[in-house]
Amino acid sequence: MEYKVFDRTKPIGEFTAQPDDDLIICRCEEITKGEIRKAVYDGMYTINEIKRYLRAGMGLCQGLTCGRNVKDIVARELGISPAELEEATPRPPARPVTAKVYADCRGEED
Amino acid sequence: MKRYDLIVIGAGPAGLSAAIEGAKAGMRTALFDENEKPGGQLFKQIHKFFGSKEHKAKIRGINIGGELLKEAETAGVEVHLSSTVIGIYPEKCISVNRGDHIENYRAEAIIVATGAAERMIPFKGWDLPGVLGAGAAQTMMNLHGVMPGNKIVMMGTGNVGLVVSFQLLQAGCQVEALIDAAPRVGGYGVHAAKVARTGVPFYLSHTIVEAKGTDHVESVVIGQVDEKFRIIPGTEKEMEADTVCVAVGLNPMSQLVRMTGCEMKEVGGLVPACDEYGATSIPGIFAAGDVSGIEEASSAMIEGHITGLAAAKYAGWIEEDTFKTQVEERTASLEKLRQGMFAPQNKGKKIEKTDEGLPVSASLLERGYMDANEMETYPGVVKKEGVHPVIECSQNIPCDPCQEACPFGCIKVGERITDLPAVTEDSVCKNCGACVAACPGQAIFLVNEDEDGTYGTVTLPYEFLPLPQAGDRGKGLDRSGRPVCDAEVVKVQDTNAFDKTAVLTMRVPREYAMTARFFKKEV
Amino acid sequence: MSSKEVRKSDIIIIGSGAVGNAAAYFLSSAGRSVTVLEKDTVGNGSSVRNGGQNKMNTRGEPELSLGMYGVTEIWPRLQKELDVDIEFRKTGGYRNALTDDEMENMQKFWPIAKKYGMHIEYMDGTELRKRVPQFSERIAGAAHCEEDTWSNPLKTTLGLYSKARALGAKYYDHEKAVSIETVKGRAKRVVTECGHIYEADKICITACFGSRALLNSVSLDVPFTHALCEIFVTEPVPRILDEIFIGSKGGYYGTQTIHGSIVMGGGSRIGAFQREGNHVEFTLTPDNVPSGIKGLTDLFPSLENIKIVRSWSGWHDRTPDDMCCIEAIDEIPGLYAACGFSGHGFGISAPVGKVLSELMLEQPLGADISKLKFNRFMPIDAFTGDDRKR
Repeated sequence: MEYKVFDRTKPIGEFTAQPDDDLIICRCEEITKGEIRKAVYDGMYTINEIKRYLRAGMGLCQGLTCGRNVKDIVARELGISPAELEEATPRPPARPVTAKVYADCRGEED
Repeated sequence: MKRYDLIVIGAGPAGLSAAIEGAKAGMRTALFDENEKPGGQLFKQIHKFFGSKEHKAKIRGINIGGELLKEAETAGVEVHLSSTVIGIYPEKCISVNRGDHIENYRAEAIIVATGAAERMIPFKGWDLPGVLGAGAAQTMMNLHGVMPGNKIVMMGTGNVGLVVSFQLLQAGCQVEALIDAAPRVGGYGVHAAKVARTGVPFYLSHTIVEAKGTDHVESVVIGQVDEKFRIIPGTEKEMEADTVCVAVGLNPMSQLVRMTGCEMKEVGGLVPACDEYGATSIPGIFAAGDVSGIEEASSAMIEGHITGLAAAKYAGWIEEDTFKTQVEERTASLEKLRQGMFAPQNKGKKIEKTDEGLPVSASLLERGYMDANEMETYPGVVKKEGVHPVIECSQNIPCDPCQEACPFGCIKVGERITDLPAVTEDSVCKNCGACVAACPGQAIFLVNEDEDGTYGTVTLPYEFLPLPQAGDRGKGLDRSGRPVCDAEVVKVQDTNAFDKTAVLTMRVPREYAMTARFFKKEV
Repeated sequence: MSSKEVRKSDIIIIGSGAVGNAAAYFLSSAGRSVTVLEKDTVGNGSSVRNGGQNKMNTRGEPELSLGMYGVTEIWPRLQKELDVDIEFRKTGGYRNALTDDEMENMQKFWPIAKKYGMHIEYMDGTELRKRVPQFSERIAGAAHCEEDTWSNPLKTTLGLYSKARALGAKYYDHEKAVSIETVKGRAKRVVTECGHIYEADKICITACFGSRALLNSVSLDVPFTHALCEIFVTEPVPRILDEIFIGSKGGYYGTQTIHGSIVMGGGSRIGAFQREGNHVEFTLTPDNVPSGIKGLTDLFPSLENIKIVRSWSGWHDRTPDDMCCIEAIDEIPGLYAACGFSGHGFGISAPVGKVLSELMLEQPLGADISKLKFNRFMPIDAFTGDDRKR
């Protein structure tokens, strides 16, 4: 699907604090709603940018829990539907893997 | 690299069904799942399923899981458990964590059936220990035998919230309240009613303001919301609880399938854009079950079969006409499930009337149980002399085991399985209890409104331990769970045929025969 | 924007990676109006897909002046001036050798390092493990370079963007520049895929591999390939070392970040032989990341139970001598470019952006870039088989 393209030159207004800004959204990395909202005003308009800027969704669960909620918060600040935001890129491993297990990779030689 | 004809990722209802079709078509099929046990969510679904016989209705999910697994093994599917697929690579190659090493495999076709993950909504204190997904609570109870807590607040009145609430009660937990920000119960009315009659209060148009506690949940503050879901100041209410279960929906677990670079679309969650047989935009990559759109397990099974057939056709294992005939059959079966007021096309719509043109019970949607005076509107509720079934089924859900359960033809649903069950006019009920045990919604009661001028009897489904015994005295509870009269158990039937739904008959004052719907033993 | 409208500014930068954003930041700070065109979304390429290192100890000599300019002036300046903590640290770094031959080979760098004011200390394995006990017994020795540094590539790239944007730089996403047009012999216009036209007196190309097609549009070329590489990150663990670390033969590079996770990557021969296509999310074969992880457990045997949480991939724009190209292009006044970073560009992205701004502002250059010209690539001497120098 085609995702929303933003005109980053248009102002979206000023960041204003909200009472629940201290709510933790990304539990793995302890990133709050306020930090996510603020990042949007710093120019982070995509979920990958939010993730790279704040680490939201970069922890052990790789955004499995918070991904949807981060998307909702960002969409609300940008005044769009969450469906218009592309989700963070999925990459291996889909679940964390212990180094010694991951290092022992078989199957190529068969 | 080891090459299979078909690799299926995820051994839930969709994945198992897909693998069965592939193997039956002669494909060398491998099925991988990250869990120790196969079946996906099926093995924790201890309730009886809806649908028709062809959808394995009135069989408990756990038993369906067992049947599917057996079928898969007979068909020759290689089932690999505790085997997490960690990546999908170009050239239809997957990497699997086999516990102590990583193994790579390739296949002609890959079916991704990774299911869904629970959605969480953040509220103050949601990161305290004691806040967990309803599905997680179900896993703790039903797979690991661990009680998630003692006093539970359930957030969400969809089928997951309702079913898990009932199972929490069965496990011996106290469910303090069912909360939903929506103004109406989201799941099946019958699921709500069986929870409500045990005395659990429903708070619609309410949300959790805060979970309080120092190192775990100690209490929960709820509050009423307006039509824009903002908390109305002054409506807050604090209740003691050690656990909050969140059942606010599921997210398709599409991470793996997205690694293939296939086209995606948004339908209340990001899913691969598939054709009607589950083929993604990448040739040879298919998706089935919740990962391609959230539905009930019964639908996932049929989808799995269809996608399995499509993969077999893709790789040249079945001919076009075989494919067509088999898919047509499955599609017809799937269509039956996708009818009625809970059909995918009705999602989010406010349904005011049943297909029969009857008003939908407002009380059921707002409080979780029907008002006594609404009852007689529905074709399953009739007043008759002697023992007769009272079917408190008021919504068009795809389900018809009751009609087959009665050997005496007392109950009729008809061709369309979403039609409301009716009590046939000149039939004679023999008080056998088969319908009571068969109804997956536990909505059928056998009532004798007037046994001897003083008492009436009510026969009801009972799935709690310890099982009451004949002679036990207690209270008859009404549909809201309020004790309304004295009651005495006169009979308890618990035969194998009833599959663990005991059928309990209680004697109550005759004026309560159409009111009392649950029994609570005196302690 | 209508198709006829022309967006004008003083300077157009094509590519919003770390280099482009750094140039945009320095130019905006100097009061120039800057337009940045990005074919994808901001900083979604190599700048956010690398290990964050500035490996001074393995840079080719022509890049060392730029490197030192970064270490001593530009990186510390960004750490202070940007609104986010880019985690710049003069970590120092260990380059580890497995054999005496490798050790000897590393020591050849010493006179060059000295010439540029770098401090390198050579030590045997015992001394190395005194400092970092977790290093494998198999390491025979190491070279410690005091000038090796690290900064967080994600925060740097996005922090530069955020600051440049706040200073007035205009960023356009999904606006793929396809050709540069000249007017009276000067670079003047950029035409994008959807037909939009941008005009400026100075145009700067910082578009990784995409730079090549843009140079081609004004009949220039630079030889480089498009190699894919993969990198991974672990869960956070208690501090093991502050220094960045690399294998003497280039097999691995890694850092324990401030966050505590270990980011590590390594070379892959097959990465240079990928199929056609231009998608940055491509994966290599499924045994590529495991081979890097094997490197981690070989390097730090005590970390065998650490969890790997993610791997990712990015492109190298690799030149024949593995060094970048940066210059004000003589043939076409008004055209500037920096590309061909060959997989180690992030470490010098900030000074390169600064030097580009100096070129465009016609200021004295803070670093010597004379050996990094586009036309330096020559055929080998056929008779001797040796490289030739222009």
